[in-house]
Amino acid sequence: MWFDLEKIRKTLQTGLLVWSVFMMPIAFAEEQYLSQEEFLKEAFNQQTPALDVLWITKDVGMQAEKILGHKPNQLRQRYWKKDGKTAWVLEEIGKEEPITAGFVIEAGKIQAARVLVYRESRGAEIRYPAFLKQYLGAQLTGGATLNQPIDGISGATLSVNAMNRMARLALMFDSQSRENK
Amino acid sequence: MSYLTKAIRWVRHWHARIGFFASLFFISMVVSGVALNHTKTLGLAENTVSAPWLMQWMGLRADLPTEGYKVGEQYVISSSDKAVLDSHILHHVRNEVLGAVSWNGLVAIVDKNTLYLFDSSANLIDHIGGENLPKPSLKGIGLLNQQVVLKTENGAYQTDDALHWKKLSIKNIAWCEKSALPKSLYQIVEANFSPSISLEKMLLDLHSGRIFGRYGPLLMDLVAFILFLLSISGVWMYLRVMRHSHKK
Repeated sequence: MWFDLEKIRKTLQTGLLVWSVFMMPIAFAEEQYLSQEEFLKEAFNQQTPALDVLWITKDVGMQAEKILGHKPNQLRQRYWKKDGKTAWVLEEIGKEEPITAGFVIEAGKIQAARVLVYRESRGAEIRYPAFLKQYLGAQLTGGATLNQPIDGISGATLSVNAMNRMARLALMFDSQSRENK
Repeated sequence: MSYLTKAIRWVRHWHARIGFFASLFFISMVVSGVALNHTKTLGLAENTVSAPWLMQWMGLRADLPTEGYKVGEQYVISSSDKAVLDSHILHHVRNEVLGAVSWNGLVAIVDKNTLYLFDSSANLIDHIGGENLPKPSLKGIGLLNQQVVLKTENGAYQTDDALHWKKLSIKNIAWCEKSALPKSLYQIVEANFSPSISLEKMLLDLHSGRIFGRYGPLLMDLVAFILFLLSISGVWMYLRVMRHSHKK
């Protein structure tokens, strides 16, 4: 024949192997977009305050469960506070893996929202400023929902939902931290 | 008998026989495929199977731990991917436990990159990892003057709140060690560390053919090809029948 079948087969095999070797890490590796330290420096103008803790009491736990749809993962939440501003680093599962996100709250409104670590194989578009800027200025309503709509991203619904839950949780935690002091 | 008539009879003969024998595989593919489409609704990932014959068939062998870390009256027992505090599964701990101590009424557990704080009922109080640790890679845990001490690749760090860390220059810290498990825990060990797989994994392996061993996927490829051939022969026979009924 004018074309070599054996050669074509071997080329296709090699190509597939090479593609899969490079695609697998891209598809499934944990991706850190921002370290916690960088997030906090950004939030507090390079002067990160000391750590504080919010204990998840029964009442706080019930409010958290209402927001998350499940019991909170742990009974102690660490956060940072300075000059009336609080910063929260939270984790919530998108589809199968946790997403780590940071939220800065001031005067009961979200001042900044960032994706720190993304672990799913798809949906990482939520890290882009074009999506995250929707959270700026958002507050919690009486029904523990956000008072402004967040447009979803096609193919990233579960990740968007996880971000929404974390945003609401951060606002609730901020409110509780101010009540406790 | 014409050549065409012979061909029709031959196709019909083998269409029926191959279809009959392959139907078992088709049914298993349909059932597993539909079930896998509804993994979450059916809770396939959460439910596990641990039948010894199936584990043996799949080459999964029990490697039951015989030692654990004593914390007060309880034991922390772990394998490479699971840990329990007596009979309570510690769902958040996914790596082998490197140490555990009883501290201020809590159970402090470390794996290679996280410090976990649980209460005695295995409720997670906090998990501290990454930048919240003094060093990212942990090697053990101990107690000094009622305070937790973490063993890292860069030395020992002490804390009284698991939030702030102080580097220690003391060398002779009593790091916690494993001890032999009492017989009363053997049943718990067997219940928690015998091999098992999720229903989802089992159905995935059945659907793909991997459950049949190394050449199982090739077998399922063959079944898929047979289905393709049966579709072609079925369509051909149907069109012939339709053409005949039109002529009449």
